[in-house]
Amino acid sequence: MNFAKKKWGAAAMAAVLALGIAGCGDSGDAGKANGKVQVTFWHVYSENFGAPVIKEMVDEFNKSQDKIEVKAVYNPDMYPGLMQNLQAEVAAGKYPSMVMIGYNYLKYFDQNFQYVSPTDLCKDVPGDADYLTTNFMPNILELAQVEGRQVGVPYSISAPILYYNADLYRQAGLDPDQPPVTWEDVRDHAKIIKEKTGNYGFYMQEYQDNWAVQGLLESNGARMLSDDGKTATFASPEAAEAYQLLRDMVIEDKSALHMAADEGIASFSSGKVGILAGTSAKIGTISSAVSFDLRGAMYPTFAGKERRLPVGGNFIAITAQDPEVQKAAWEFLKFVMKEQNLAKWTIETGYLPPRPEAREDETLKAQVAKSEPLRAAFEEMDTLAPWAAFPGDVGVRAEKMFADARDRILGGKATVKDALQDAQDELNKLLK
Amino acid sequence: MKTGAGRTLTARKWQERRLAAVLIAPALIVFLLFMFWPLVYTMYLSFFDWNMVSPKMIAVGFDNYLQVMQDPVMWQIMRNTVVYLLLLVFFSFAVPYVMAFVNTFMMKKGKDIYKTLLFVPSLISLVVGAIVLQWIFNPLTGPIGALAAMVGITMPTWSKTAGLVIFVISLVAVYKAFGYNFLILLSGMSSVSEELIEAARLEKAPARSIFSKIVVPLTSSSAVYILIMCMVQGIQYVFTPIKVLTQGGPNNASSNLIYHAYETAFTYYETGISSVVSVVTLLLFVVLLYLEFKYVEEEVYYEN
Repeated sequence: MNFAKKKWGAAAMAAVLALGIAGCGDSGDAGKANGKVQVTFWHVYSENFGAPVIKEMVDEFNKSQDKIEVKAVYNPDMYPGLMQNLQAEVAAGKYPSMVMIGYNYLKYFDQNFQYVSPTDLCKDVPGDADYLTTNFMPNILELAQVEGRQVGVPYSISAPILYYNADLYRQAGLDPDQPPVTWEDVRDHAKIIKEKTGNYGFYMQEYQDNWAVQGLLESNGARMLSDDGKTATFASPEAAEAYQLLRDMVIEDKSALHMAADEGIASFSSGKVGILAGTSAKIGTISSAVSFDLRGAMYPTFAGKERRLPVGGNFIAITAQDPEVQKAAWEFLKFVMKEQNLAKWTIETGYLPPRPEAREDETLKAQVAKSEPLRAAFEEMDTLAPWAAFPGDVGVRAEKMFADARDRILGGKATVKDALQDAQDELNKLLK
Repeated sequence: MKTGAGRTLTARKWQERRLAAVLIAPALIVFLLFMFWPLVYTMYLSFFDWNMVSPKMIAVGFDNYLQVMQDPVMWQIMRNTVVYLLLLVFFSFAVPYVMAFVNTFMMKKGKDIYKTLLFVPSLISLVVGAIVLQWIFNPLTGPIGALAAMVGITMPTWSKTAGLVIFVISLVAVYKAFGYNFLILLSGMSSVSEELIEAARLEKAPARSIFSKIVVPLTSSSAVYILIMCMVQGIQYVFTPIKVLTQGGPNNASSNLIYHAYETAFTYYETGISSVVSVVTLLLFVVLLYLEFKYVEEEVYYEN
């Protein structure tokens, strides 16, 4: 090969490489392409947990009109993963059009990111003045409000529920139609299951957050945060009492499992654990994974006390900076909130719909009749309270601190009182 | 004074140097931009309090350093990092080293089968490997738990046990690095002259002397490379299973300097603290490098 050929060859390769690298650039910016307004929709759902329904909705919406094109973008690692990606995107000066934010990030999101409030959009878009008030209950709308400001529209709503294995119940001589009603019942049933079948009786999901535990503590009258939301108040006697019960099940009775969330839930699905205290958002995945008689029940109470459960899930916020994209995103948001789409979402995932009308959908009604866990979740809707969102930058760290405290308590390394007190002191220091 | 011949020499030297500069420039620019600049910027950030999104960056002097050094969690993390490094050195350096020796000099049949079997796992992605190992090690539903139960032992819950969790997480990094390390050490072994080995065998030298007195010195160049790689690469591999399986838990028992730096930056948005942790990590490896130069380099045999 003579030198001229080599030179041209090298130049051609360089051009191809340059094109390739340019093509790697991310088109996170929504703008206009082929005449349609581009809307990017950031979500957190993977193939085996909700993504097919999202794809269906996006395709249907795109086909039904030719002014807006929606693109769904998956963010792995759920809400923390999406927040990290959002951080990076914003640091690069770009904003996706609409994002799903976990309720525990509500205050952090409101403080640090630019978004357009749905109330403003309602005012600007003709005919939508009452959209929010006519379609959503006030206590649901509150879930996505900070100091009266509507940050986004609530979408997925999950509640902590009990799943239980009727086969193990029968094996242990317990009546599968009599699920535990109080936490004391849970302790008794768990002990019996452990004694009679050798399998663990109970497992409470242990993600790197405090959600499931909050349901346990607040149902005994404890409160994570003060009323003004500025001080941590969970190192109270009521909280300690509730936590002690869980600890005793793990350490004294040895009837409760202490394990990381994925492993623990897999153990329940394989029939090795009698009762699972977990999120209703997993109803879909657990129902399809088990080969035993799966039942559901409401999260237990403490005898004589009021049930108070943290709501999990997410809301959808519109972060597009261009008014045209904002309106386009709003159109898609309203589409997602239609009864039949909400019903599809509930059937696929087990999340509760934010709008009561969705419950009237026929396919959803049939599903609720079939699935006990789903029925239990619906029954709990009136007892849902906000997931304690610690203000500002402290929010995420707080969840981690709780998870660490839980590991210390359930691992027998600290007493309940000490662990709670230490966590509260550290948190209040950060809150100053 | 420049004679005719002198001028040509200087001109050519100039040309050579210019050519050299042009050829090095791309790599140098990439290095400065992607390695040196972030390093300097990280050190700069360690003196600020910043949450990565807000426009306010508050200068705090050495406060971040003081905070990190006084945090007991930080000391736990440094201990964890040392444990990780020791496990990695043992399982992905010492073990492949011995196995490469056995495969080259002591096995008669089935050499190639072993080579393939030992290498194939390293092709599996870290995320997949982490999830598979999590399933294998599940005390209730996994095969190891079942085997243990047959013998009457209850398998501990590794994901919630302080020392064990580091061990299992390291295994994920080990399976990934083992194949490559094994292969490089193997190729180092093949450059050892057969005659030396035969001579030693004739003198009835036991295998371990052949290993320690002949093979190790002669393969020391590959060995040092793999030793450094297994530490640096290993500690980076370990990040994935920590992120996927334990997120640093239980109670920071599986976290290490790399994961902690990531967590403080991208989970807590405490950029200043994270930068301090990164600087500490840099210092640790500078110390390790110094030790390597002082005590190891002299003994290394480089063939040319």
